[in-house]
Amino acid sequence: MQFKILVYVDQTTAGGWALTLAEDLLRGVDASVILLSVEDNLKKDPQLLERVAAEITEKTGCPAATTTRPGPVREAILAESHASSPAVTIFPPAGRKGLARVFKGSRVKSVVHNSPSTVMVARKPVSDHIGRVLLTVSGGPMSETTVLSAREVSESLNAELTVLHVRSSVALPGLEREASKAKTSAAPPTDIAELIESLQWGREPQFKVRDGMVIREILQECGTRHYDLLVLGQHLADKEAGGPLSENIAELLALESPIPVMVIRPRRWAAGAKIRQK
Amino acid sequence: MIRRTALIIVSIFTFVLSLQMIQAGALPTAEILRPSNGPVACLGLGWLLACLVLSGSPVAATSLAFLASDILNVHESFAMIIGSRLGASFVVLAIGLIYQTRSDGQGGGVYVGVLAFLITATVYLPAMALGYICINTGWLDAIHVPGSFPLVSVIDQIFSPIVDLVIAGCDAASLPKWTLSVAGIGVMVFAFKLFDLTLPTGDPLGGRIGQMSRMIFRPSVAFLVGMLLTCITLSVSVSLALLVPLTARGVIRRENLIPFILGANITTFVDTLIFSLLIDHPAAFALVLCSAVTVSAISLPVVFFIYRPYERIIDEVAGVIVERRWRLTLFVLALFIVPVLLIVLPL
Repeated sequence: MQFKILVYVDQTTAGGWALTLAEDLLRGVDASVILLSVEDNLKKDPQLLERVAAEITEKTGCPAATTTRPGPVREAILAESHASSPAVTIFPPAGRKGLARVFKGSRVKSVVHNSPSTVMVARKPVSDHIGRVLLTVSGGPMSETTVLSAREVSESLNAELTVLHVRSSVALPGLEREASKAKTSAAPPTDIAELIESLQWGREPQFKVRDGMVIREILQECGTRHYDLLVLGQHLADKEAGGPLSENIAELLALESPIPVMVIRPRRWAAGAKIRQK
Repeated sequence: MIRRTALIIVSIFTFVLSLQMIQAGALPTAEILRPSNGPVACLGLGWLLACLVLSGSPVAATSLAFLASDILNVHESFAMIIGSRLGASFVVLAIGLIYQTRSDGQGGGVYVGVLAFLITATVYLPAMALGYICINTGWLDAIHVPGSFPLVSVIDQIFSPIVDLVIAGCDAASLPKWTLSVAGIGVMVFAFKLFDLTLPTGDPLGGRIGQMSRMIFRPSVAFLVGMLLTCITLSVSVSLALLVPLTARGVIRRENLIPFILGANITTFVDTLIFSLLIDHPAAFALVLCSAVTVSAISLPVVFFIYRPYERIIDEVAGVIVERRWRLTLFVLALFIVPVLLIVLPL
């Protein structure tokens, strides 16, 4: 099964970010790309897809197919994702905020929740190339598959990987020496350290541990601008975990992250991926 | 499983008994304080009394009794009810401090207590302003409840006979009432010991406890759970205090605390609402209902529209307070000094 990357294309600045991310990924894996746009975009710019396809093929050497679907955008992305079974779907956010998001909904939340493939939400690039990846792990039962997938991603991008774990604990007051340390410590929880060690990782990732509320701590870490990509897992089994009662952390992070986010569905990524030899 | 369930029931029973004993011992001492004039002074009085008796409900009930006796007017009684809720959050902090004397380095208990006060203050003080608008515009005059209703409190039904027995024992031994409070603290420590035996530490790698320790409920869901649990216990002190060991042991994520406390702060009025029906004053019921409605009017938009920014601010402030011992000490002192200043200063 060939490794395919689906990229949504439009004329917006955010659309350009999605193409930049796609090019970065395509330089690291043997894959083909499917460029998707909606009919409304092509009415404004009929040559859009052909032009972008030519640019991508020239820059990456990867064959590019094009396809058009009727809008709205989120439905087009999901329909194509189900039809062509890509390993990764890359798309830009719609840029809605406040009441507009309340009334029209969120493209990011909708696609992250419903896409069968790994999704990548394009944000303004931090640097020219994805060289620093931040992976968040909870230490839960699915962490192993998330870590494995993140390793493949970072190797294909030739990127440094930092593993972040957020603890919900609160330190006792009066332990001034502990409290005066940097909020992020370098010692990972034993279970996560053992997990990484068991994978016999050739290149050891850096560890960080933060204490606090998980979404806020991850976003704060992203906000340090030390990373080009945030990777987290939203496993098919966990997607509906807790049902309507619980927060979907992956969706919230994909929505609020200031840097590009990859929400991994590991089965799709692992199936058919081949790392290019440099 | 049966043993653990029995242990949980016994520990909760013992814990609630300890609270009842502490309150019974402190209330006679607190009642010697006479209410001051002016709503600001009454706010401070309700706050201070609730801190001393470790509960807001008896102080709120006392406020209504003062209203019926014309010792306080409607504005002052309302302020005292609001003050009682500010002081009631101190009990969670006190319990957190007691729990922490035995903890293994985790400060979750104290964090819950600080959080409880900050949330109560940020909701109840604006609610107080809103309530005054309702009182001054005469909206309360339209609310009348005829007749009286039987007061039902499960906690009173079960624990009053036991506490009365203990009080009788104290009287027989010629011990002052405050010794009941001291004994109550001892019973509370024992209750925590029992509770700890039932609780595993959150295991992030698996099991139901592991799942719960990773689950973050939607704010609206945690809000409803807080409302429901406090509706059942009829005491925000009990429902919030149960969070102390659960948070400290990692069983409940702290992301779930804030909306839970917001919900608990609304249905905490249920018992006072019932008590107001027994009060022979036309405004008693409307006053308590006004408190509940105004607190809801502030809490619901917070939960549904501005929750994330609110959570961030409250968590940051609580974290700053809890991070250093001297800050926590100042905070606890302020919980007592501020209401005293409100009482004595001519505002």
